Amino acid sequence: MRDAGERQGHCAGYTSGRFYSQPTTRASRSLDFHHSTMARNTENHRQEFEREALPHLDTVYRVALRLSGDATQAEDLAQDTMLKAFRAWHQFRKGSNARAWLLTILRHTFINEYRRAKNRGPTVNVDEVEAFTVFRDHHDEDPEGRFFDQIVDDEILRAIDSLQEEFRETLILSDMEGLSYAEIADVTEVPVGTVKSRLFRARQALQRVLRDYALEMGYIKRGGQ
Amino acid sequence: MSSHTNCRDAVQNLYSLLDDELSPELKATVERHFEECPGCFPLYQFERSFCRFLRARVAAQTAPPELRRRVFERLLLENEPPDPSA
Repeated sequence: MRDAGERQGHCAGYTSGRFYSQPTTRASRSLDFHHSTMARNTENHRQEFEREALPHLDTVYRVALRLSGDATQAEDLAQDTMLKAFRAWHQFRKGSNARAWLLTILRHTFINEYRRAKNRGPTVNVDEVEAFTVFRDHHDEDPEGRFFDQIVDDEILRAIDSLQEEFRETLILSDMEGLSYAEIADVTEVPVGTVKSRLFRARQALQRVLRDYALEMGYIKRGGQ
Repeated sequence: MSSHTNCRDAVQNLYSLLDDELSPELKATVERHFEECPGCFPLYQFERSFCRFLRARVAAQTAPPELRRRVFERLLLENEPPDPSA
């Protein structure tokens, strides 16, 4: 931004905590032009970022919350992610998927700076769950799973949080954020086949946790009786 | 895959079907199998309900307004042109 000093043939700067002014020279006019161009570029950069990336803040926060398991840490992680993304915005390929790009930055930030700080509680062993058997006994009793409606949101989130990290992140990217298998594969840096396998096991394990909760609460009866 | 499919193939493709990840041809074939096979239909019906339930219940959370404000403020600080004396 130009100030009165510049209009009078001086350019103003800020150094060592004090303003200074000096007579305008060809070099300083060139520097001045350079800075005003940079300011315009920064402004364009910011507007573009606000338009393309900021609408995904909800997604970034939700995923951060499920990855970190802590609301305060999730806010810090989401903010760090958005700032890193802003600083790296020139690397973003225009027209590509901003949400997936942000989630990749989020995931790297979490792994490198946040994950070690969190000691999560016991997790569900997805390998113990046999495919499509969890609610088999209840298909006749409740074919459309209406008892799900009785399970409160917090309990569903707790069940998701009990999954091991790689299964939890795949499930939230798919069922919470609606990413395609290919997008999840990009973000989590694994083949699509691994995404499918993780998602399958995550959903089956989640069903087991929810079944145990529903049995405990009396929403369904043991053995479908 | 042919225009017909067996139970094993259909079940293997169940989540891909529910996640809309199949080609239009395969989707039609697998969907038809689940609709017509009395042995597979209950599983299809239940898993379809489960996926709908899960998606409907977990996506509503939004970022806290305070976080949104903080991010905006930080971006404005980032927006300052570089220090000319630097």
